[in-house]
Amino acid sequence: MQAEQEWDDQQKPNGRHDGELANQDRPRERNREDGDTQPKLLVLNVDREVFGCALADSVHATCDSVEPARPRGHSVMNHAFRRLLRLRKDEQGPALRAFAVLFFVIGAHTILETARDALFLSKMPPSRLTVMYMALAAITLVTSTQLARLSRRFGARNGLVASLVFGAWATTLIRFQSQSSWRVTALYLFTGVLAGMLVAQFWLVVGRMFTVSEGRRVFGPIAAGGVLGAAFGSSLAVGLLMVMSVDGLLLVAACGFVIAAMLLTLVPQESREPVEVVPVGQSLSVRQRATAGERAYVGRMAMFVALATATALVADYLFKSTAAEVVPKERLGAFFAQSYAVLNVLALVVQLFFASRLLSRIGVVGAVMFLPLLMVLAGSGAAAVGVGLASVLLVRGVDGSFRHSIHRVATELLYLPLPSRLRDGAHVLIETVIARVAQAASAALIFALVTVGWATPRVLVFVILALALAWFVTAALVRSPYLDLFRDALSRGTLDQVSPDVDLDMASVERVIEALSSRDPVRVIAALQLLDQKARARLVPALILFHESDVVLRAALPILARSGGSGAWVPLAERLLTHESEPVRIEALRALAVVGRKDVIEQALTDESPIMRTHAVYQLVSREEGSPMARPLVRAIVDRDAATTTVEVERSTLLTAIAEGNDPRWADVILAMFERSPLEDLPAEVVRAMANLGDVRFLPLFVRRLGVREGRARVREAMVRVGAPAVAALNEALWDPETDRHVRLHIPRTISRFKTAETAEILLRVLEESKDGHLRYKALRGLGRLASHDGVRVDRMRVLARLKHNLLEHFRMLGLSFSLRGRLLKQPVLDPDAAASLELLLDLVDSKGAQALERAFRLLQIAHPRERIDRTYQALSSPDRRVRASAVEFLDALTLRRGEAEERELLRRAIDDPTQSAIAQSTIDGVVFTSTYDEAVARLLEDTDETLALLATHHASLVGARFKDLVNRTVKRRPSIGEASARLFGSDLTPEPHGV
Amino acid sequence: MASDSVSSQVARELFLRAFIGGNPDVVGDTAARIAKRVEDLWLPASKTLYTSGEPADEHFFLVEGEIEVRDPRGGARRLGERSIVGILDVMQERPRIRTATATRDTHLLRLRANDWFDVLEDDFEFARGAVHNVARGLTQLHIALEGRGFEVSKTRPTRVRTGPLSFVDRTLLLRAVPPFRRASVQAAVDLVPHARVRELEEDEVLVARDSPKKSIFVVANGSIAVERGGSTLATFGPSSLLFGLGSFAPEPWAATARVTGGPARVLELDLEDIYDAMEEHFDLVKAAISQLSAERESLEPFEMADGVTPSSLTRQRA
Repeated sequence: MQAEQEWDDQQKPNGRHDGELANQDRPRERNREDGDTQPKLLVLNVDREVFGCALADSVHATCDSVEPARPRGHSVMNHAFRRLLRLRKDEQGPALRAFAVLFFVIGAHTILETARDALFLSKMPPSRLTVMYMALAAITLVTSTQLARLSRRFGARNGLVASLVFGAWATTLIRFQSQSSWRVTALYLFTGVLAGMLVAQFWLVVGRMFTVSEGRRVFGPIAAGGVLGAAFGSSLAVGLLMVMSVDGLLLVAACGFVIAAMLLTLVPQESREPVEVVPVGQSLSVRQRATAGERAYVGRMAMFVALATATALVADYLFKSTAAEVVPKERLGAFFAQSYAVLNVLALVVQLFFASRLLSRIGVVGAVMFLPLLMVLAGSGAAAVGVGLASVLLVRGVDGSFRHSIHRVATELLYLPLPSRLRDGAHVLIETVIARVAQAASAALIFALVTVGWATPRVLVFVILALALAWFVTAALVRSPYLDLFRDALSRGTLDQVSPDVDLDMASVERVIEALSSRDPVRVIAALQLLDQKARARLVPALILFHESDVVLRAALPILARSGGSGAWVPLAERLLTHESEPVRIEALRALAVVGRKDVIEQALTDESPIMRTHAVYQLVSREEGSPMARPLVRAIVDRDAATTTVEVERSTLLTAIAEGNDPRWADVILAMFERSPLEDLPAEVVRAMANLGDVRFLPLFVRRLGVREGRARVREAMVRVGAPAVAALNEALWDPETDRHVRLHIPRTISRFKTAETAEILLRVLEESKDGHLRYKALRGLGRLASHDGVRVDRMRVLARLKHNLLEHFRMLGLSFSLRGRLLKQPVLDPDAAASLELLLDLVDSKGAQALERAFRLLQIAHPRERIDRTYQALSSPDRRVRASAVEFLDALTLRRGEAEERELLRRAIDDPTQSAIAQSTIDGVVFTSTYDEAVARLLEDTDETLALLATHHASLVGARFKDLVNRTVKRRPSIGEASARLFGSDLTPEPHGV
Repeated sequence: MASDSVSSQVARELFLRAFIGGNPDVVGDTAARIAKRVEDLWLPASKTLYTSGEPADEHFFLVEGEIEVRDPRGGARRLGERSIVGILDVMQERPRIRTATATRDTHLLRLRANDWFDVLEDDFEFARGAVHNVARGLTQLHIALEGRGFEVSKTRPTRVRTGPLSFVDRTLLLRAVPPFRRASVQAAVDLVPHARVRELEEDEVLVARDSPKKSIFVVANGSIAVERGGSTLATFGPSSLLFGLGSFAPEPWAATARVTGGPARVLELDLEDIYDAMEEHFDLVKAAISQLSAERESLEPFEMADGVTPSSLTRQRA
């Protein structure tokens, strides 16, 4: 109750209208003007929360018409209607018009169908139906090509108007023909063709009006129009047959078509979907224009629809043939009318009360499997209990109840992910040609069964069962290409696949060698490094040592020395021992030392440069057995105390030499040189040397050095080389309360370098147990890298639990934001300091909300490591509503796996719930997310996030007496908040003793 | 994989290694990662690469050839081998404001913005290097322009209270200056506890020319003059970042900063703390590069008018 009052206060600040409310949100607008780069998704959500803007329009566009987040007065009914039908305000009008059109199309067609069946079966035996089915298929083959052309030429809407008008004219014409078997044949064929055309055309029109996500909401209510129209049509037919002949129904149906055509003119002709431009002179067939994935999808769709149609036809034949046997001919009309009426009422009930919820719960992919599964069950039941009128009615009843409701909606939604260039053609092809061919094939099968006398109800039930099973399997197989279509759509404009690592082949070697002959040092060095990294250093020509650039010489010498090549470079390197550049001379010495030129080393021991001499010492000692510390030449450098420049140079050079070598024996030398130095202050070259040696004794230093940026990368590499003991040391430091936070923050990323299941487990534990949000984020990033890049398996259920936690956190922040924001607009106005602190608090709450959602997506990426969830997340902020819809649908279809139901529902709410504006007011898992402003502040004071609690405390203390007790309690219970407040805000929040 | 595509990828990696330069250990990985994500694009002479108003969701490494980038408001510049084309728009997340056309047959490598941000986010050292490089170029340009560019890159002064600065005041002050203005509030909130308030007397030297740079300064109250070679390059007032975003360059201070016109107060932030915050909050890296790009771009009119085109500035290296 309190929350309601608070909401009303927020919505009516100073008597302002709702529309003005949007303009009052100055802090947010200011952020936008400044180019705020906060994730758009949060902005979108919060805007939607506060202003109730539709998702489609709230990302980049300004809300022209804002609606209150909760209904008031006259809009209560509207709101309730939209909630019931799960519609958004901007979808209401188009959906209502489409609903009305379909109502009249199907209503009129049902009346026509009733008349047709009654007239046909009163003149012809049921076995003639098979011939009709085949004839229908043949005619449809011709008409469907014209239909697609008509839609392209005049637009889908105008095409449907023309078809309706033609249908009315032809029906009237047939009505006034004389009674004959030709007339009923013509009526049957015409009605069948017209039905296929009108339905296909109607869904083409609707498919252009809505995206997949919108379709999931509006297709159900629109399809309800069809079911209601069918129920109304069949009921009307029953009533009319009491007062008129069957022939009279034809004129009523014609009137229905005319009304539908008139209503259709209210639907805008313009498509909201961008039209794809096909180059002039390029007329490509569906097959040529489709990608492999699209072709696979269209193929499975065709199979799916063919099997669905075949199953329906056999079920229909079983029903009609059984009825023709059991029901007297003169009562057939009434029997069919009553049967269809019952079926349609059932379908309507399903559509109105179950379809949308079912679709929302099991998704499009689940919904397409629903009817085939029921048909398998019904067929199995009929086969088990024996075939009679009851079991036939059960089979037909299941089909009739769900085919035109949830099944139709789900099937139509399956077409929407297809790109527009393919959708119309594929839709017409499948829904007319393929469906009719399937009908013809099924009819031929029945005809064959009738001919050989096997068309008994029992055999037909088994045929239905077999077809339904195949249908179910095909439906299940649609999921994979369905997801692929969204993957394609989401990665369009981006690279689908990152190219794998490649090795060098002849052609690429030629390119690299060519680069080596460049005069540009940068290019040459790049080529040298590339060859070295790809283990092709032997290809580096010795003549490179004639290069004019010192930098190139220095880069080439160690690579040549490592290459193990022919040794042709050695004489050229000797020449460089007298090079004017000392670094070049040093590299020449080191390179020659690698190939065992002791004479060169000994000569360098007497060089005038201390650097050359020290390198020579290193090289000489490295060639001898035993510990370097035992060598007098080394001790002379290590033990010397005099802090002269020469000594410093020698020590530094020795460390450099150790760092660039790879001899673990030198670890003792490093320890001896720095045993008295504070480890954190060690110069970079020491750390580099230690890192290169990777000695286990350095591990404690390595862990502590993670807190220092310089050399961190090398330390990480060194720890990876050490292996398991390093993981143990990192894990211990991670949970050791004495570990510096700055060090701890770098541990997750370091751990993730080990790429093992054990490290994944450590990071997962951090996610679950750490109280430090930054540390958890680091662990999340590390875990993401392990799962997505390195293929390490992560416990999916635990990841999903964290995903849920983050989504709930997202909603909690939305709720808090919603509750706090209104106070900025409420009287009495806050004093400037309090208002400023509240704005900052709000920004932080919003930012935390966005962060929680982003983390949820990162977790989703870990749960689905082979998917590009990052692309999907980006797509959710796309200005293109179809891209956003694709992202939403992709996530929905993706998260259908076992154990993901809860997370899927929460995700859906976070990104595409039409009642998102009510998220902040709704309850999830028993948690209420909104409150009054006072309650929100109180909650934030208790928040586990120290920064949030601190800012809330500061704000509450500025507001004054209202929160005095709360602030006192908080500071008493959480002294750290009081201390931080005193330090950062200069405010003394020492709690007052009770009773004073 | 077909041989030609292997060869192409190696060629791309080779080019990118040379392009990025720097530490071979870091460059090797990053170049390889980018090489896997770029696509070759061959543009015949006189063909347009992009036009003003188009969405900017990719940028280009110019391998060979030449691109003329023309501003519809006037002015054009030609970019040659080893330039990046179109990155200013990408980094500022806005539509193209210029039109780019090949003046001769040109070979480019195209990198999608999302992939570029992925690389930056995955490799902080590379991202830091990018910040340094652009900041370095910016500082050089400011010096070359003798401080005139500071006027356009300075933020509009706002009033800051004269009493003690609370956490909220410091956060708001920090958020008034780039790059914190475009980063999330969390980054600023995390940084503020590390910020130190320094009270300065008139004529006090805040930083001396050529002294090592360890911090950046946001002016809270008063004025700080930046002097070099005996002349004042610019004066920074309240809620401005001293030296502009060029202060993110790692090199020693290029000029002396001295308090002028009465006492002053600044907020001092260690660069190391900012880098730590950047590692925590990638949006701060994005905001920094974006604002650096914007400041760099705002100097173009001066640059063109003066013909200041040091080679390090004509190349928009990352």
